[in-house]
Amino acid sequence: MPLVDLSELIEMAVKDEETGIVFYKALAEVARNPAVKDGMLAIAAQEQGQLAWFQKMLDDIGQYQPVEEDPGEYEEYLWALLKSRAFPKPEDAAAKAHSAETDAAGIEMAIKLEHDTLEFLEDMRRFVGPERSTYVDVIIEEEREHLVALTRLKETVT
Amino acid sequence: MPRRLREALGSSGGQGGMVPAGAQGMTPGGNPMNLAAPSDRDWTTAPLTEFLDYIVSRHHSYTRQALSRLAVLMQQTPKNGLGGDVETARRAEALFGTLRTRLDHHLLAEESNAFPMIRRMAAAGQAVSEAMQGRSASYLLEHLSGEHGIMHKLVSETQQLLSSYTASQQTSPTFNEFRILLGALGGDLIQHSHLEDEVLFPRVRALESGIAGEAH
Repeated sequence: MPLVDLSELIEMAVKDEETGIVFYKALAEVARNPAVKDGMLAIAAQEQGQLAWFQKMLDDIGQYQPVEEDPGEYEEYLWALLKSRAFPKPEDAAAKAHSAETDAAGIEMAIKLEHDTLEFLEDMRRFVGPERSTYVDVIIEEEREHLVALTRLKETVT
Repeated sequence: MPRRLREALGSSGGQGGMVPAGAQGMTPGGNPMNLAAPSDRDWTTAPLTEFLDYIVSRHHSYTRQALSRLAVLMQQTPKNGLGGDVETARRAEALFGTLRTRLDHHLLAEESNAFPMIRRMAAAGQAVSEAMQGRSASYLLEHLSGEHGIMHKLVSETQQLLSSYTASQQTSPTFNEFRILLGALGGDLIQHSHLEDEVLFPRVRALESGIAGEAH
Protein backbone atom coordinates (compact mmCIF):
# COMPACT_ATOMS: atom_id res chain seq x y z
CA MET A 1 0.00 0.00 0.00
CA PRO A 2 1.34 3.48 -0.82
CA LEU A 3 2.34 5.61 2.14
CA VAL A 4 1.82 9.30 2.74
CA ASP A 5 5.13 11.11 3.28
CA LEU A 6 4.09 13.59 5.95
CA SER A 7 7.48 15.26 6.04
CA GLU A 8 6.92 16.63 2.51
CA LEU A 9 3.61 18.11 3.53
CA ILE A 10 4.97 19.61 6.75
CA GLU A 11 7.99 21.06 4.95
CA MET A 12 5.58 22.73 2.58
CA ALA A 13 3.76 24.18 5.58
CA VAL A 14 7.08 25.50 6.93
CA LYS A 15 7.76 27.24 3.61
CA ASP A 16 4.24 28.69 3.56
CA GLU A 17 4.74 30.10 7.04
CA GLU A 18 8.05 31.68 6.01
CA THR A 19 6.28 33.26 3.07
CA GLY A 20 3.35 34.29 5.27
CA ILE A 21 5.64 36.14 7.67
CA VAL A 22 7.20 38.09 4.80
CA PHE A 23 3.75 38.81 3.36
CA TYR A 24 2.25 40.18 6.59
CA LYS A 25 5.33 42.24 7.43
CA ALA A 26 5.20 43.74 3.94
CA LEU A 27 1.50 44.51 4.35
CA ALA A 28 2.33 46.25 7.65
CA GLU A 29 4.95 48.34 5.85
CA VAL A 30 2.48 49.66 3.28
CA ALA A 31 -0.50 50.04 5.64
CA ARG A 32 -1.80 53.59 6.04
CA ASN A 33 -4.12 52.95 8.98
CA PRO A 34 -2.27 52.26 12.30
CA ALA A 35 -4.85 49.60 13.26
CA VAL A 36 -4.17 47.74 10.02
CA LYS A 37 -0.43 47.96 10.61
CA ASP A 38 -0.87 46.60 14.16
CA GLY A 39 -3.10 43.78 12.96
CA MET A 40 -0.64 42.72 10.28
CA LEU A 41 2.28 42.78 12.72
CA ALA A 42 0.31 40.68 15.22
CA ILE A 43 -0.52 38.09 12.57
CA ALA A 44 3.11 38.08 11.39
CA ALA A 45 4.20 37.36 14.97
CA GLN A 46 1.72 34.52 15.25
CA GLU A 47 2.88 33.10 11.92
CA GLN A 48 6.36 33.06 13.45
CA GLY A 49 5.01 30.84 16.23
CA GLN A 50 3.32 28.60 13.67
CA LEU A 51 6.60 28.24 11.81
CA ALA A 52 8.25 27.04 15.02
CA TRP A 53 5.35 24.65 15.59
CA PHE A 54 5.60 23.08 12.13
CA GLN A 55 9.35 22.65 12.65
CA LYS A 56 8.62 20.81 15.89
CA MET A 57 5.93 18.81 14.12
CA LEU A 58 8.50 17.75 11.55
CA ASP A 59 10.66 16.37 14.38
CA ASP A 60 7.76 14.76 16.21
CA ILE A 61 5.76 13.13 13.46
CA GLY A 62 7.58 13.83 10.19
CA GLN A 63 8.77 10.23 10.01
CA TYR A 64 5.28 8.86 10.49
CA GLN A 65 3.93 7.43 7.24
CA PRO A 66 0.21 6.67 7.33
CA VAL A 67 -1.19 4.34 4.71
CA GLU A 68 -2.96 6.18 1.93
CA GLU A 69 -6.70 5.47 1.92
CA ASP A 70 -7.07 6.22 -1.75
CA PRO A 71 -3.88 5.12 -3.58
CA GLY A 72 -2.33 7.84 -5.71
CA GLU A 73 -4.43 10.59 -4.16
CA TYR A 74 -1.64 12.00 -2.01
CA GLU A 75 0.91 12.22 -4.81
CA GLU A 76 -1.56 13.96 -7.08
CA TYR A 77 -2.55 16.32 -4.30
CA LEU A 78 1.04 17.24 -3.57
CA TRP A 79 1.68 17.88 -7.26
CA ALA A 80 -1.41 20.11 -7.44
CA LEU A 81 -0.28 22.02 -4.36
CA LEU A 82 3.15 22.67 -5.81
CA LYS A 83 1.60 23.96 -9.03
CA SER A 84 -0.95 26.21 -7.37
CA ARG A 85 0.96 27.83 -4.54
CA ALA A 86 0.01 31.46 -4.01
CA PHE A 87 3.60 32.62 -3.54
CA PRO A 88 6.34 30.27 -4.78
CA LYS A 89 9.01 32.43 -3.09
CA PRO A 90 9.01 34.95 -0.20
CA GLU A 91 9.91 37.80 -2.57
CA ASP A 92 6.72 37.06 -4.55
CA ALA A 93 4.74 37.51 -1.32
CA ALA A 94 6.45 40.81 -0.56
CA ALA A 95 5.88 42.08 -4.10
CA LYS A 96 2.21 41.17 -3.94
CA ALA A 97 1.77 42.91 -0.58
CA HIS A 98 3.57 46.02 -1.80
CA SER A 99 1.22 46.18 -4.78
CA ALA A 100 -1.79 46.79 -2.52
CA GLU A 101 -3.07 50.24 -3.43
CA THR A 102 -5.32 50.57 -0.39
CA ASP A 103 -5.52 49.03 3.08
CA ALA A 104 -8.74 47.31 2.09
CA ALA A 105 -7.03 45.75 -0.92
CA GLY A 106 -4.18 44.49 1.29
CA ILE A 107 -6.64 43.00 3.78
CA GLU A 108 -8.52 41.34 0.95
CA MET A 109 -5.28 39.67 -0.21
CA ALA A 110 -4.66 38.48 3.34
CA ILE A 111 -8.18 37.05 3.61
CA LYS A 112 -7.64 35.11 0.39
CA LEU A 113 -4.35 33.75 1.72
CA GLU A 114 -5.99 32.67 4.99
CA HIS A 115 -8.75 30.87 3.08
CA ASP A 116 -6.16 28.99 1.01
CA THR A 117 -4.15 28.16 4.13
CA LEU A 118 -7.22 26.81 5.91
CA GLU A 119 -8.04 24.61 2.96
CA PHE A 120 -4.49 23.25 2.96
CA LEU A 121 -4.58 22.62 6.73
CA GLU A 122 -7.91 20.79 6.53
CA ASP A 123 -6.34 18.49 3.94
CA MET A 124 -3.23 18.07 6.06
CA ARG A 125 -5.41 17.17 9.03
CA ARG A 126 -6.93 14.35 7.02
CA PHE A 127 -3.56 12.96 5.91
CA VAL A 128 -2.12 13.19 9.44
CA GLY A 129 -4.92 11.02 10.80
CA PRO A 130 -7.15 11.32 13.86
CA GLU A 131 -4.49 10.38 16.44
CA ARG A 132 -2.27 13.29 15.45
CA SER A 133 -4.88 15.76 14.27
CA THR A 134 -4.48 18.04 17.32
CA TYR A 135 -1.10 19.06 15.88
CA VAL A 136 -2.98 20.66 12.99
CA ASP A 137 -6.06 21.72 14.96
CA VAL A 138 -4.13 24.25 17.04
CA ILE A 139 -2.99 25.98 13.85
CA ILE A 140 -6.41 25.78 12.21
CA GLU A 141 -7.90 27.57 15.22
CA GLU A 142 -5.34 30.36 14.93
CA GLU A 143 -5.90 30.74 11.20
CA ARG A 144 -9.64 31.00 11.76
CA GLU A 145 -8.98 33.74 14.31
CA HIS A 146 -6.87 35.52 11.70
CA LEU A 147 -9.73 35.32 9.24
CA VAL A 148 -12.17 36.78 11.77
CA ALA A 149 -9.72 39.53 12.76
CA LEU A 150 -9.02 40.44 9.13
CA THR A 151 -12.70 40.55 8.26
CA ARG A 152 -13.36 42.89 11.21
CA LEU A 153 -10.39 44.99 10.21
CA LYS A 154 -11.68 45.27 6.67
CA GLU A 155 -15.00 46.57 7.96
CA THR A 156 -13.24 49.36 9.82
CA VAL A 157 -11.42 50.63 6.73
CA THR A 158 -14.17 50.37 4.10
CA MET B 1 4.85 37.38 45.90
CA PRO B 2 1.93 39.52 44.64
CA ARG B 3 -1.12 39.47 46.91
CA ARG B 4 -3.47 38.37 44.10
CA LEU B 5 -1.24 35.41 43.31
CA ARG B 6 -1.18 34.36 46.97
CA GLU B 7 -4.95 34.55 47.00
CA ALA B 8 -5.28 32.50 43.82
CA LEU B 9 -2.99 29.81 45.14
CA GLY B 10 -4.69 29.81 48.51
CA SER B 11 -8.02 29.11 46.87
CA SER B 12 -6.63 26.42 44.58
CA GLY B 13 -6.38 23.84 47.31
CA GLY B 14 -2.59 23.84 47.30
CA GLN B 15 -0.74 23.01 50.50
CA GLY B 16 0.07 26.08 52.53
CA GLY B 17 -1.29 28.27 49.76
CA MET B 18 1.42 27.03 47.43
CA VAL B 19 1.72 24.18 44.96
CA PRO B 20 -0.20 20.93 45.46
CA ALA B 21 1.70 17.83 46.57
CA GLY B 22 3.83 16.41 43.83
CA ALA B 23 4.70 19.74 42.25
CA GLN B 24 7.31 20.41 44.90
CA GLY B 25 10.01 18.49 43.10
CA MET B 26 9.36 14.80 43.56
CA THR B 27 6.70 12.40 42.38
CA PRO B 28 5.75 9.24 44.28
CA GLY B 29 7.80 7.22 41.81
CA GLY B 30 10.86 9.19 42.90
CA ASN B 31 11.30 11.07 39.66
CA PRO B 32 12.65 14.53 40.27
CA MET B 33 10.78 17.19 38.35
CA ASN B 34 13.34 19.91 39.07
CA LEU B 35 10.79 22.48 40.11
CA ALA B 36 12.61 25.20 41.96
CA ALA B 37 10.97 26.95 44.91
CA PRO B 38 8.76 29.89 43.90
CA SER B 39 10.60 33.17 43.78
CA ASP B 40 9.95 35.89 46.36
CA ARG B 41 10.62 38.49 43.69
CA ASP B 42 7.99 41.18 43.27
CA TRP B 43 7.05 40.59 39.64
CA THR B 44 4.95 43.71 39.49
CA THR B 45 8.14 45.77 39.41
CA ALA B 46 10.97 43.41 38.36
CA PRO B 47 12.44 43.96 34.88
CA LEU B 48 10.27 42.31 32.24
CA THR B 49 13.15 40.37 30.72
CA GLU B 50 13.92 38.82 34.12
CA PHE B 51 10.24 38.02 34.53
CA LEU B 52 10.12 36.26 31.15
CA ASP B 53 13.28 34.30 31.96
CA TYR B 54 11.68 33.20 35.22
CA ILE B 55 8.48 31.99 33.52
CA VAL B 56 10.42 30.00 30.93
CA SER B 57 12.99 28.51 33.31
CA ARG B 58 10.53 27.66 36.06
CA HIS B 59 7.08 27.07 34.58
CA HIS B 60 7.77 26.15 30.95
CA SER B 61 10.58 23.83 31.91
CA TYR B 62 8.50 22.14 34.61
CA THR B 63 5.50 21.77 32.29
CA ARG B 64 7.61 20.09 29.61
CA GLN B 65 9.18 17.69 32.11
CA ALA B 66 5.83 16.87 33.66
CA LEU B 67 4.19 16.25 30.27
CA SER B 68 7.01 13.99 29.21
CA ARG B 69 6.78 11.93 32.40
CA LEU B 70 2.98 11.85 32.23
CA ALA B 71 3.15 10.47 28.69
CA VAL B 72 5.36 7.61 29.87
CA LEU B 73 3.05 6.90 32.82
CA MET B 74 0.00 6.95 30.58
CA GLN B 75 1.60 4.32 28.36
CA GLN B 76 2.53 2.17 31.37
CA THR B 77 -0.84 2.32 33.11
CA PRO B 78 -2.74 -0.93 32.47
CA LYS B 79 -5.67 -0.45 30.15
CA ASN B 80 -7.34 -3.80 30.65
CA GLY B 81 -4.94 -6.05 32.55
CA LEU B 82 -6.62 -5.29 35.86
CA GLY B 83 -10.16 -5.86 34.75
CA GLY B 84 -10.42 -2.19 33.92
CA ASP B 85 -12.74 -0.12 31.83
CA VAL B 86 -10.87 0.00 28.51
CA GLU B 87 -13.09 2.66 26.97
CA THR B 88 -12.49 5.11 29.84
CA ALA B 89 -8.76 4.49 29.64
CA ARG B 90 -8.79 5.17 25.89
CA ARG B 91 -10.73 8.39 26.35
CA ALA B 92 -8.34 9.53 29.07
CA GLU B 93 -5.39 8.74 26.81
CA ALA B 94 -6.90 10.75 23.94
CA LEU B 95 -7.74 13.67 26.21
CA PHE B 96 -4.27 13.71 27.71
CA GLY B 97 -2.82 13.60 24.17
CA THR B 98 -4.83 16.72 23.32
CA LEU B 99 -3.70 18.45 26.52
CA ARG B 100 -0.07 17.59 25.82
CA THR B 101 -0.12 18.84 22.22
CA ARG B 102 -1.99 22.01 23.13
CA LEU B 103 0.33 22.81 26.01
CA ASP B 104 3.40 22.12 23.88
CA HIS B 105 2.04 24.45 21.24
CA HIS B 106 1.13 27.12 23.79
CA LEU B 107 4.62 27.17 25.33
CA LEU B 108 6.27 27.31 21.93
CA ALA B 109 3.96 30.11 20.80
CA GLU B 110 4.84 32.16 23.87
CA GLU B 111 8.55 31.57 23.40
CA SER B 112 8.61 32.18 19.66
CA ASN B 113 6.22 35.09 19.19
CA ALA B 114 4.81 36.78 22.32
CA PHE B 115 7.88 36.78 24.55
CA PRO B 116 10.31 38.04 21.87
CA MET B 117 7.82 40.82 21.13
CA ILE B 118 7.66 41.72 24.83
CA ARG B 119 11.45 41.74 25.02
CA ARG B 120 11.61 44.17 22.10
CA MET B 121 9.01 46.36 23.77
CA ALA B 122 10.88 46.25 27.08
CA ALA B 123 13.95 47.56 25.30
CA ALA B 124 11.93 50.27 23.59
CA GLY B 125 12.51 52.77 26.38
CA GLN B 126 15.77 53.55 24.67
CA ALA B 127 14.68 53.12 21.07
CA VAL B 128 10.96 53.53 20.74
CA SER B 129 10.85 54.03 17.00
CA GLU B 130 12.97 50.96 16.30
CA ALA B 131 11.04 48.54 18.48
CA MET B 132 7.62 49.99 17.87
CA GLN B 133 5.09 47.20 17.46
CA GLY B 134 1.99 49.35 17.74
CA ARG B 135 -0.71 47.62 19.73
CA SER B 136 -0.14 44.23 18.15
CA ALA B 137 0.90 42.64 21.47
CA SER B 138 -2.63 43.00 22.84
CA TYR B 139 -3.96 40.70 20.15
CA LEU B 140 -1.43 38.00 21.04
CA LEU B 141 -2.02 38.33 24.78
CA GLU B 142 -5.76 38.00 24.39
CA HIS B 143 -5.25 34.81 22.41
CA LEU B 144 -2.83 33.37 24.98
CA SER B 145 -5.16 34.18 27.88
CA GLY B 146 -7.95 32.36 26.09
CA GLU B 147 -5.71 29.32 25.74
CA HIS B 148 -4.99 29.31 29.48
CA GLY B 149 -8.69 28.70 30.09
CA ILE B 150 -8.68 25.79 27.62
CA MET B 151 -5.69 24.16 29.38
CA HIS B 152 -7.36 24.35 32.81
CA LYS B 153 -10.49 22.79 31.34
CA LEU B 154 -8.53 19.94 29.73
CA VAL B 155 -6.68 19.16 32.96
CA SER B 156 -9.95 19.15 34.85
CA GLU B 157 -11.66 16.91 32.29
CA THR B 158 -8.76 14.45 32.35
CA GLN B 159 -8.90 14.37 36.15
CA GLN B 160 -12.62 13.66 36.01
CA LEU B 161 -12.03 10.75 33.66
CA LEU B 162 -9.36 9.34 35.98
CA SER B 163 -11.91 9.22 38.76
CA SER B 164 -14.01 6.99 36.49
CA TYR B 165 -11.31 4.34 36.33
CA THR B 166 -12.31 1.14 38.08
CA ALA B 167 -11.05 0.38 41.58
CA SER B 168 -8.72 -2.30 40.21
CA GLN B 169 -7.22 0.12 37.67
CA GLN B 170 -6.64 2.64 40.44
CA THR B 171 -4.42 0.20 42.35
CA SER B 172 -1.78 0.52 39.62
CA PRO B 173 1.30 2.44 40.87
CA THR B 174 1.67 4.16 37.50
CA PHE B 175 -1.96 5.27 37.64
CA ASN B 176 -1.42 6.82 41.05
CA GLU B 177 1.74 8.57 39.99
CA PHE B 178 -0.04 9.87 36.88
CA ARG B 179 -2.97 11.17 38.94
CA ILE B 180 -0.73 12.95 41.44
CA LEU B 181 1.57 14.40 38.82
CA LEU B 182 -1.39 15.64 36.75
CA GLY B 183 -2.70 17.35 39.89
CA ALA B 184 0.70 18.92 40.41
CA LEU B 185 0.82 20.10 36.82
CA GLY B 186 -2.68 21.55 37.22
CA GLY B 187 -1.49 23.42 40.32
CA ASP B 188 1.54 24.76 38.53
CA LEU B 189 -0.62 25.82 35.57
CA ILE B 190 -2.74 27.90 37.95
CA GLN B 191 0.38 29.71 39.18
CA HIS B 192 1.77 29.99 35.67
CA SER B 193 -1.36 31.41 34.04
CA HIS B 194 -2.04 33.69 37.00
CA LEU B 195 1.43 35.20 36.73
CA GLU B 196 0.85 35.85 33.04
CA ASP B 197 -2.80 36.92 33.04
CA GLU B 198 -2.74 39.03 36.19
CA VAL B 199 0.81 40.38 36.33
CA LEU B 200 2.76 40.03 33.08
CA PHE B 201 0.08 40.82 30.50
CA PRO B 202 -1.30 43.91 32.32
CA ARG B 203 2.26 45.23 32.54
CA VAL B 204 2.76 44.63 28.82
CA ARG B 205 -0.53 46.36 27.96
CA ALA B 206 0.49 49.34 30.06
CA LEU B 207 3.88 49.41 28.38
CA GLU B 208 2.25 49.12 24.98
CA SER B 209 -0.02 52.07 25.70
CA GLY B 210 2.96 54.11 26.83
CA ILE B 211 5.02 53.27 23.75
CA ALA B 212 2.12 53.90 21.41
CA GLY B 213 1.47 57.25 23.11
CA GLU B 214 5.10 58.24 22.75
CA ALA B 215 5.33 57.19 19.11
CA HIS B 216 2.09 58.81 17.89
